[in-house]
Amino acid sequence: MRQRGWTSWRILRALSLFIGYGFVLGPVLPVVYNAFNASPIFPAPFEGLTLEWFRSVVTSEQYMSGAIVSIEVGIGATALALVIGVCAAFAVVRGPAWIRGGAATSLLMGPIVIPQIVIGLAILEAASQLSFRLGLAGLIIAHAVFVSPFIIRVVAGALEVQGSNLESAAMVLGSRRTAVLFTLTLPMLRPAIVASAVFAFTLSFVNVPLSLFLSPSNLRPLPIVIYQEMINTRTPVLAAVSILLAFVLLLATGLAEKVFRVRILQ
Amino acid sequence: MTQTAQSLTLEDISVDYGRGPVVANFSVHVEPGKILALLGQSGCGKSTILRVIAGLLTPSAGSVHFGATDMTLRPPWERNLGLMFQSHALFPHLTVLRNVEYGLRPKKMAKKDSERRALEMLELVHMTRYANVHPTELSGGQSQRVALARALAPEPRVLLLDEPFSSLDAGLRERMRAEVAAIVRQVGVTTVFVTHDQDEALSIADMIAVMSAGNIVELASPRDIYKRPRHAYTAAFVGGSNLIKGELCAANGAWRFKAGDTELAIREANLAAGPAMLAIKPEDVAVDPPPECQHRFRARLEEASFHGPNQRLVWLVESLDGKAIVSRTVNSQRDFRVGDTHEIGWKSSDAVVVEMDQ
Repeated sequence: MRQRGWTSWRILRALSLFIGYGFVLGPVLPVVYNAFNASPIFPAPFEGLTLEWFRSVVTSEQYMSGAIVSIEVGIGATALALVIGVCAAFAVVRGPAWIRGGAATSLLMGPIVIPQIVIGLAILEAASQLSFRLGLAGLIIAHAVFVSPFIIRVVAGALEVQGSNLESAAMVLGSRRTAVLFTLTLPMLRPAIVASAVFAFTLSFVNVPLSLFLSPSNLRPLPIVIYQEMINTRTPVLAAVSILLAFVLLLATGLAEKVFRVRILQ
Repeated sequence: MTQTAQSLTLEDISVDYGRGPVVANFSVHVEPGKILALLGQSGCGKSTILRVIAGLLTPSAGSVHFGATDMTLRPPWERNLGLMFQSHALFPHLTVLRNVEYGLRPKKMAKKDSERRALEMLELVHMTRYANVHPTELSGGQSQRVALARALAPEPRVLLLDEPFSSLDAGLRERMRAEVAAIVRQVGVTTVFVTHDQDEALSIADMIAVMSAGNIVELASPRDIYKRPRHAYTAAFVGGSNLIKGELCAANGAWRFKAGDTELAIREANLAAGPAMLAIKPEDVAVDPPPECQHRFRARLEEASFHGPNQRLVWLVESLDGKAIVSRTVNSQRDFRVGDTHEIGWKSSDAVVVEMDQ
């Protein structure tokens, strides 16, 4: 049995599902089938199944060293951004009135709204004027600056929701302010911290614009290797490496969920 | 589990956030082991007082003493208090047992001892079965019990309860109220609790401080607050008394209360002669009153409403300038029809002369 009068709502809902999923996942589909496509050209019409391209990725020294650089940068940037982001979140939620609230949070979103390509160029130029050689550290710092706003957003939101009642209760129960921070406030923020860290790592891992300017020639992160390959030779290996990348990130997220017992994907 | 309970003294406490005082010159003294209720509507400053006692808020003036010790400028963690919030504020990432144990942590007890003490407290509140459960899995009444156990575990000098029952539904609230009161009495800790619910205050407290606009209107025992209020505000807020405006006169050693053309004989009055109000509880107003009711009026029924066991009747009394008088009587066979005229009245001993609001 069905109630009358819901038809237009049902149509709208079906349409939104179709548009939503279609537009988000649609563009990914050609990448998926090209990764398994026997044709040596990318992109190309389907010619037959093969796993050859995946084998090329795994055996390629270029891609593998790129992946290692990306992991190093990702972990370094995430760790640094966590320190910066959690501190900033506390400042925004618990700081004195003039630094607190929506305006302050928006200001700290700066690194997201300024084009990364400009930030990359600016850091590069500043470093060269100071005759400062940017190595892995420079890349890590630049990535950390870019991803920390995402951490601030998530952690500040969680801190806001958490409120201060629990902390008051803990202080009245005899715990000093710092003890409360480490036994209560931070443990309670753990899900937000883990989720935002995974997000930050992912963003750093796939970042192109900052790395393009700031990675030294001997330390190329994976996305830069892909970018250069794309300019030089267009083979389905590109599709295969992309699929592997997505798969590994998904796996890492799932692992983080299991290890830290938090929900990230749902 | 008796402990040496301590007295609590607040002297001339003022709190000002910069927009005028929230609390001004508030003073109160609670004897060791007694329960004080701060009763008032929201915004009257009662929770502010609680935060001052807890040390979560520093007053702009005044002092807080536990026993003879000045605690005014001590941080919350040095005050040795128990605090129960309306939201219960259980730590969601810790089990029930670890929650109760939390307050013992700063005491540097041996793990074994603190766990034993926590289990003892859980037994006191009948929650031993839930020791290893996380608070999110508890019902309202259960988390209330755990919050109480946690507050009492470190043997606090003073127990503070902030609207502890208002998050529970009606039936449970009454049960928890009785249970918590019994436990607090058993432990014998000096207690201050904040509520807007007069029933709660009347049934639990030894002393009630009726608060309004950041100060105490009246401080007295529950019986006196209810039966012998001194202020019109108290009479109206607690028990919803009818208030008749008039003048208190003394003639030949007898008190009389003049309201309009009517003059009523009064048993006793603690006030000087002059403008005052006469307060009568709705349940003391009788319809077609028996002869012992000395104050009697002709009145027309204006409104009648059904409240389960009771009925609430609103009467207009012409000889009191059309003043509305509310009566509450047990629902009986008798039906009153709106528009009917009856005689209403009350015993002169049930009429209390109270001071007018400033």
